[in-house]
Amino acid sequence: MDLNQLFADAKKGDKKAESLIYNYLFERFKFLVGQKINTNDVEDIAQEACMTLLSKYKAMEGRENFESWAYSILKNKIGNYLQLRRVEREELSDKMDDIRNPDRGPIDIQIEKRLNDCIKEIISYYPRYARALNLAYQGYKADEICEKMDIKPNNFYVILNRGRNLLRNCLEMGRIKA
Amino acid sequence: MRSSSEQQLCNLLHAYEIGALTDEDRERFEIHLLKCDACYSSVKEFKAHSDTMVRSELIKGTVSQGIAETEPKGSFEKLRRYLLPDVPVIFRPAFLYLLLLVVLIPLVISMIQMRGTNIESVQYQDLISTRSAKRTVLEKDLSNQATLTFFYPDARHNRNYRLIITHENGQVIYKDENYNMFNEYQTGAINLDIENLTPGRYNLTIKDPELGDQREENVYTFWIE
Ligand SMILES: [Zn+2]
Repeated sequence: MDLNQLFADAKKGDKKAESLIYNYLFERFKFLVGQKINTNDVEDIAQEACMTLLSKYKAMEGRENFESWAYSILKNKIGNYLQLRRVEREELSDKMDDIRNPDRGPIDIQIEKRLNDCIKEIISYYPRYARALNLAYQGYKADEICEKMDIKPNNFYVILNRGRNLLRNCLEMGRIKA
Repeated sequence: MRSSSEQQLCNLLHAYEIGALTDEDRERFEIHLLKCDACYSSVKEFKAHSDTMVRSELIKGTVSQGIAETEPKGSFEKLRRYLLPDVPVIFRPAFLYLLLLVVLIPLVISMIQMRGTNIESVQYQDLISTRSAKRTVLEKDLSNQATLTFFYPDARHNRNYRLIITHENGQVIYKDENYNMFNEYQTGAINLDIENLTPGRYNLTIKDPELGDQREENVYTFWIE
């Protein structure tokens, strides 16, 4: 879907385009909220962001990057949400940590076991992926990992994506090579 | 069709999933997720696995233990990465070391050969008659090779003369019965290896055999120290 084209059509008064934008962004916003915070209010935040976006987009300059603008609205909604929760739960700071960390909740033991078996296999087959993964586990970010592994960012991303493909092959077929 | 900068953002996929992106790149990728269907589907489809990968202590342990176990390979890999980093061939240390060897080996060989040819400095001394007060000294420290020149007023070009050098103890260290190398300026020269000669005073005696005993011998004195 070409968001910028839909956006242009909606600005000209195309109601169908406007509704398509809403449905499309609602899904993606929900996903991104879930990636960033741990809350049952995912849909509310996504919906609010979509409403704000639809109420303002006509005033937006045509040349501006639509996705960046949409993302900034979502980010703002998430920020407001966290701010509101903080005021509500001033005394419960650990609750805020729960919200900020989207990775709370039990781990699926079966997924964990299958992943673990596959990663064991990949380590000896493709140690560079294991090394990159290990550094990421230690909290290093891409630029620091590249420095430690003495590689360029592009190579780092290639290593990771190749490792991911091996991992997916292993998860789907039980072996790392297709 | 995706632009090349959007295509580059697609490469950040797995780094995003495992939380290895900087804040700035994570935002760029999330904006990209708003419009790239391929990345959005991939991240969504793999989400349960990537969340588990990021959170599981079991998997983290497996990875760090696995790295430790492959450490010998890791060292080899380190060496390989040092010698063959991902840069153009001419900048790889392996290539540069090879180039250095190609240049250095012939240089070292030629230096060894030059040592074999014994290129040394030579000390030149003009011998003067014993009647002079000046001392002519050949110094062993300077070099083992000496070229002695001597002026013999009666010498004639292409005529044979008798040359003898004797140490003060009487030992003859050089003898030539038919020396005919005087030039048209009555000057002759001989080369002398002084390395094994005893230090002390030496006399070079030149005699014209044709004159028999009618003429006094010409004697030149020098010292070896
Ligand atoms: Zn993409």
